[in-house]
Amino acid sequence: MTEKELVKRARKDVGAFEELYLKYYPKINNFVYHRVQDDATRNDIVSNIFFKAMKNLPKYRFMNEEKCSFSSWLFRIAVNETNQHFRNEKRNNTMKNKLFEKQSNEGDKLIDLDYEILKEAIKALPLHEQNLISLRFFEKMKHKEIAEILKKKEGTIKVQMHRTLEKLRNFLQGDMSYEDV
Amino acid sequence: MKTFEEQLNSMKIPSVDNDPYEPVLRKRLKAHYFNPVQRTQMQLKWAIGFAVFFFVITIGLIVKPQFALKAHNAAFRESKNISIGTQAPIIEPDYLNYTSIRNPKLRGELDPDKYLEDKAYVIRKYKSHEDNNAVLIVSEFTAQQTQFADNRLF
Repeated sequence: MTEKELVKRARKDVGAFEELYLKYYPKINNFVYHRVQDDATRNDIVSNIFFKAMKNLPKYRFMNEEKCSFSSWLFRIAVNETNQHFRNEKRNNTMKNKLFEKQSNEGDKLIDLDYEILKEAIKALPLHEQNLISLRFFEKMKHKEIAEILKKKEGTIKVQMHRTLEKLRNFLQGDMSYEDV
Repeated sequence: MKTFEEQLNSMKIPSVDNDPYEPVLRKRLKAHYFNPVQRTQMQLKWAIGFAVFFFVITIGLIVKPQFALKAHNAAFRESKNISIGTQAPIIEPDYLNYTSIRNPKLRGELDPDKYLEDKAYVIRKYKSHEDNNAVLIVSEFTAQQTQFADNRLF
């Protein structure tokens, strides 16, 4: 059965729903995992994403099916739900200071980069840029896919990605804070 | 920049495998969307919603039929002006026929279908037997408003 058929039947046929759910749960779960700290929050966000997706499935079929793939539509919900979580939560900026202490001031040299450092570092970026980095480097998506999810042109995404990477690199090198970039 | 991007690309990204929450959420979703009782309740809610909606529309059209015309004009960008309720010919008693626009003597003068009755008036003339003066009392039939005219005006 094609994905289009699965999507068509997912609200009525429990088998189609399960197939779709099992295909996308790990992807969505990993996306949220890379953005939030604790498991309880992640579970809440993932639940909201899937309930929202099931609720809006007829709307997707009616309005968006021709415009974007199911995967992009589902990731768009995930991005929105994650953003909503961060908007509701008070931002904790203390980790920014910790990072400055950790990083050396060594110009263009290679940064001693690992997943945990990057995950912490991107939290100080604006939500839109967090999404860009997360989709590109954690979910390994192409610019075209990211553009579809974020409803932007591919060229725009490339430009934004370049700026965000520059900002992130400078921040990780400890040259300046995000506000100075 | 390329080196930094390559670094990010080659970074080892951990993933969550066999998440224990996956079957929990699957069960919750199935219970919510595939439970027959819940489905029936949902269908019932929709049915009641539609019934209430159409009931309100029907009552609205009975009470204010001109809404249908307004909706039609808005939908098709027309400006039709049909006076609902005055389409049928008015049947009046024979002895009043000559007072109406359908007076046979007026035939050929004007088309009664092009006019709508707006107001009805009663005019009563009184004559004084002392000085032969006359007054006319013009009264609006339903609103009970009266105007007075004396014989200097007619």
